[in-house]
Amino acid sequence: MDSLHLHRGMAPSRTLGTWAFVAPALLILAFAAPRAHAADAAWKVVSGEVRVVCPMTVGGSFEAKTSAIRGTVTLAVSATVFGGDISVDLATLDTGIGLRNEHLRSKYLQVERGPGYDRAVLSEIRLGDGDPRGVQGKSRFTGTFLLHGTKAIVSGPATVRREGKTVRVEASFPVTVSALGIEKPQYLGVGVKDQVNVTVSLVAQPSEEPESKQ
Amino acid sequence: MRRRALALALPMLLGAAHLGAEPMFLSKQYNRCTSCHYSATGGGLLTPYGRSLSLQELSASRPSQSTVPPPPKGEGEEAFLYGALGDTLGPVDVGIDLRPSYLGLDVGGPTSSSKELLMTADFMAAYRAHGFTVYGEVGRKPAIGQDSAGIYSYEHWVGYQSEGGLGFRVGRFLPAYGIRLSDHTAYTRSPLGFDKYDQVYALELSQTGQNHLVQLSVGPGSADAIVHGDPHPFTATGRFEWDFGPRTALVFSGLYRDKTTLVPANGAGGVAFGIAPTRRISIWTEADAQFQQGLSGAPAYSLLNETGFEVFRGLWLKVSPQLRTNYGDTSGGVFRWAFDADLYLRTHWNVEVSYYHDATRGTDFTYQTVLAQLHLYL
Repeated sequence: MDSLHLHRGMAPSRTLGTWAFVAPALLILAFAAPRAHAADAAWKVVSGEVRVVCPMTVGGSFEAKTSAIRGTVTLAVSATVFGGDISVDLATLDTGIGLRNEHLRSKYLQVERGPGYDRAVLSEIRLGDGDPRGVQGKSRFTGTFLLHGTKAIVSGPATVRREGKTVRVEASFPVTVSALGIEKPQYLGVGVKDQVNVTVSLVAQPSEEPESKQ
Repeated sequence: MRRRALALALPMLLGAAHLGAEPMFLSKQYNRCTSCHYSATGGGLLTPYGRSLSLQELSASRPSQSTVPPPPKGEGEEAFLYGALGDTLGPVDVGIDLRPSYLGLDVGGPTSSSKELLMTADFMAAYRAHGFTVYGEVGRKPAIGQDSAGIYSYEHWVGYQSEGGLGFRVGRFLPAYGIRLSDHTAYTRSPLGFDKYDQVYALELSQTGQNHLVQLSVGPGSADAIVHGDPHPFTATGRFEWDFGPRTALVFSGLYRDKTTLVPANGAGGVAFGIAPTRRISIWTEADAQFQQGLSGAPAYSLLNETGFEVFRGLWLKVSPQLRTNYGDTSGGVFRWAFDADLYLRTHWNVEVSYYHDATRGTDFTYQTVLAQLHLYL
């Protein structure tokens, strides 16, 4: 964690880095509602999927995805920002092609560098314009996104649906690769454009104990 | 009837030629020909990326160790002549396409077996810089009818594509229409005028983005007819592709050819849909209606499905039911079952065996064709 940089003041859609698959965290926000006004409500991600659509310089796109998403977020009484975080194991990102996976994980995300690089983390999540407990349906979120050892503010649309005790969240946000200090993805004349789009789908349920951070 | 069957099989006797485009790569999330080919309509010379992909994703001989940085230009198993020339050619990319082929044809009745060992040999070269591409192919064209064998250039063109996706090219090429299957005898290619030697001289304008590709072409028509001084109709094509995602594509196509002293004005319109439900399966379906001025009744229809399945790395199996009806007679025409096995033994070496069963609708006449090819792309 020797080189965490926080980029603020940029338009969210132009700020975040790369393969932000991580972002799922956004979603979390939503969960708070079921336990509206309860003290320190906690939500744990029980399943989910992150998809990153990468437009190619020659046209078309490819998709990297993973279901290795986890995390717990909490919301204190009267708080509007979620504590905790949601993270994605970047070593599990799969583009369907071996060499492309290797390039993504090793050359660009540099997951082998360890903490700060091996997981994408979304934290400090805000949902909606005010009290997140009442958010239902379409809304927006913002959060702090850590990728490639660099932090950035991200935001985008989010949809929250309550299904019994669980909450289903879908959210997406753009990530600008170069803003996260990631080398321009390029291989033998074929590259990925600077802005990729992250889509997160997850299901969370109430949790009694916040998940320990790693 | 037998003569007709032979005529239908003739294109195969000429060899499958060209390194075909591979729509099956939709399963690998490649929904643009230009990911691997210089030509926006696929086929022909592979780009360095396409060569690399052949090594990394097609060859049964998996690299012992994949490397993050690409090998130096001109080096590596995937390079021209397996890297024998190194970077001698500088910025020019070249390739040689050889296809010794064997064909067996059974037209029924007293079995007529035609066996040929033919060699397709093409040399291809391209230079690309600052968005511009200069491209050319020279190859051996087998004797066809009264035309003797000789040197032939399938494609030669100059093109440009901006970083924003706007592009053009002018010269000789196969215009964009539908799905360019590697089998040029497919009923959605040959009957519509997109066979191996059906290139046109034209100007093509294109615009590509993350989810779309538009290609429009206009020109004086058949390149062969122009070269030989024969009547050549003004020809225009349009193709619009919309990608619902990296593994799903919808394509609309249109074609118009003006009348000549020999052929009335004609055209075609079609729609194609491709989907890759898994990383090993690609499914393409195309339907076209072909029209000709002066003919009443139903148009001639071409319907095709091609399903490709990667059994394991290096082995692809394909099955393709195809239907072609006659003008004004939707109950007539020909139905085909095509089966294909393609074994990529190692980079740029593959053995392809195809079996075709064609049945003339409304009769009991059938004929079978077996085509075996050793494909060397050096």
